[in-house]
Amino acid sequence: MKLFLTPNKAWGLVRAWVPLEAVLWLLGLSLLALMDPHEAHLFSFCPFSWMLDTGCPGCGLGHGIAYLARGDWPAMWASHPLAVPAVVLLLWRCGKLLYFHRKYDHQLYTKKNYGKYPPSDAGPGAR
Amino acid sequence: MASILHLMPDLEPDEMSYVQTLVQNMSDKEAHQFASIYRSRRREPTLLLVTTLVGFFGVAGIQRFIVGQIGLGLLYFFTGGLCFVGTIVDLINHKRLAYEYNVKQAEQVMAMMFGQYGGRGGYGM
Repeated sequence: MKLFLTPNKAWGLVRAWVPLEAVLWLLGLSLLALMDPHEAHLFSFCPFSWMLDTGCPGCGLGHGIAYLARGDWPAMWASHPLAVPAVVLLLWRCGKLLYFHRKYDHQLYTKKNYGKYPPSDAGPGAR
Repeated sequence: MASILHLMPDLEPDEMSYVQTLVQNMSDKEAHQFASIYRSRRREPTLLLVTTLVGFFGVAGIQRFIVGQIGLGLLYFFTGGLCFVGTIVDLINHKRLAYEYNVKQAEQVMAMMFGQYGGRGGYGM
């Protein structure tokens, strides 16, 4: 039996509709927002935290975003003061990416096809 | 019918097909003028790749400053590239960042040359 929507196909569809960068930001932000900030710290992917005790300049940002999603402002500020600007900037960036995608990629696609078959009676200024 | 391939063979494929739609109806002289202005304004994806790699060893976010995204550049700078996550995203995404910036620059060059976005016979006409 043939699957209609393989994971590869689904990913291709997603990428045709939204830019990859926006998908990654939104996915990351929602994962951090859903994370429980009170859980024990198990493992960090950050190479700085393996080597230094003080951690890297971004340490606590994830926790900050999780506290922000729960409305705990003092805890958010304590874990990383840049959590609010980070969320605002990333969402702003996603908006711009979606706008760009809509404006140019769609336009490029339609124009590319049009350019291949120019109408025979097109004047000098016509597309 | 000017062809951007002859004027700027070093463009990325996506970028080339977009710029070709702009140059299509220009005379050769206009296309030459467009190419010389655009060449000085566009950014190479390689430049973005190299400055992104700098983020792994020291200062993160230079690539975002280069494409004019000051806010995200500052955020990257002060958080070590969002704990390397942003730096890795940009590593994968550097061609797209360059494309986005270059499309905007191409539009501005069109506006400079013809006084309107989309150029002669553009969307406004």
